[in-house]
Amino acid sequence: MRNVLVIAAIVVGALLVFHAGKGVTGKDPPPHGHSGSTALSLKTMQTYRTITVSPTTVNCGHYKQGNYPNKSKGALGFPWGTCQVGDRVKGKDPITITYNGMQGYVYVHAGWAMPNGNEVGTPWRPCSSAGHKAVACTGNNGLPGYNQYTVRNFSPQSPAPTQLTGNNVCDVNFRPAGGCYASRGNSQREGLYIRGPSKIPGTDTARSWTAWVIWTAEPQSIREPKS
Amino acid sequence: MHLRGLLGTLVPAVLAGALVAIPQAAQASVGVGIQAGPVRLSGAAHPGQTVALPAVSVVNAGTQRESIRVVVQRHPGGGGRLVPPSWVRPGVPSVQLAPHHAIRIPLDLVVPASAKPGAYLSDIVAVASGQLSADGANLGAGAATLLQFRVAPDPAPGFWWSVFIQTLWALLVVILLAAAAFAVRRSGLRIRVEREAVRYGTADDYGGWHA
Repeated sequence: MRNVLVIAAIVVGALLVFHAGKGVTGKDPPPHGHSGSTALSLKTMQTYRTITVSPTTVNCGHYKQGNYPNKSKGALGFPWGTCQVGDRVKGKDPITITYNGMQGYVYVHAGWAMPNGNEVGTPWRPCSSAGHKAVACTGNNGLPGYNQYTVRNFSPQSPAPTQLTGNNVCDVNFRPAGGCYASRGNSQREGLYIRGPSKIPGTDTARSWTAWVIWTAEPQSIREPKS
Repeated sequence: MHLRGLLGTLVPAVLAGALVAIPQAAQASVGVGIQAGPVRLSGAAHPGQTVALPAVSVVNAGTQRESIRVVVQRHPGGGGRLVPPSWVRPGVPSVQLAPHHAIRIPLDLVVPASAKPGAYLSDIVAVASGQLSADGANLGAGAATLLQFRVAPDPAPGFWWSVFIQTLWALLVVILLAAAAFAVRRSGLRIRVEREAVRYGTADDYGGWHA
């Protein structure tokens, strides 16, 4: 019996200690004495990874391709009309991408092209002529299919334009000599070539569209964390 | 003559204004920044648990007011399990920031009960969009930082702690009951239950009873 009482006392004691421990708080030491202070200002390195794109919008020009009567010098024709932002041959690259902050990479992808304002139209999705089947162009010879379009970007140093898709990929035109690696203050001028779809539905009445191209500052790759 | 004087005054002013405005328009940029350090959960998350991730800092690096939203995307370098975008809930869907202004956006990690244990790795991307244009191409900017955390295979630690405490209480109750019973027995108090034996006979063929 004595043993039973001892065990009971131990258990009760453990529970009391556990509950009492929850309520223990420490007070701040009382302020005492006098002190003087002086302001010290200093600067630190930028700890952000940033990217800026200028200008914010560009207009597509030099309309070509398409078949009569769906062909015009002032609008994208069908099928597979083209337009361009800048001119690689003439060295016109109106878009400036600037990377800043901790070193990393510049990636790029294209978004859907959407009809402007209240106009009615099915979005065009960016496709790849030779990429993954999930984003492959469904038109003839790798050209855009129904409601698809292609975007290619270029820079003064790039030997050939590079096709973009909806997936973020290394922008090899940002630094043709070193892939898309970027460090503080790196900057590049780029341009775009756009090719429209094979056709659009007869129910689409939109006459102006806006495509998206987005550059992303990516961190450097890391080793897989241990699980 | 009066008109000529007025034009002479206004035209230089308009030209000067245009010269100031044109470079500003030409220099307009969309830009965004995000903290370089990864968003990393200290300790492991458990299936079925919702935990607060460290807030992520974003900055408007452009020249115009921007709407910035935070999304989860696959990290191009791979490694680790992908974080489904629905697991990470920003405190606000998007923020409006003036140029060169920064803000910290709180993040919640919602781990479903069916989550597989292991190391997870994805990108947290701040995406900026400025004023949208009609016609042509809109150019956007995004900045990514890593999101890293681990999902542990076992249930949340609070579960086992509560089981331990409840077991301790149950043990205490049993011991106290035993101690009380023993004390009562030692004190001499007894409840005597007596049972009177009744002898039953068997009925014979004639309806009589035999002892």
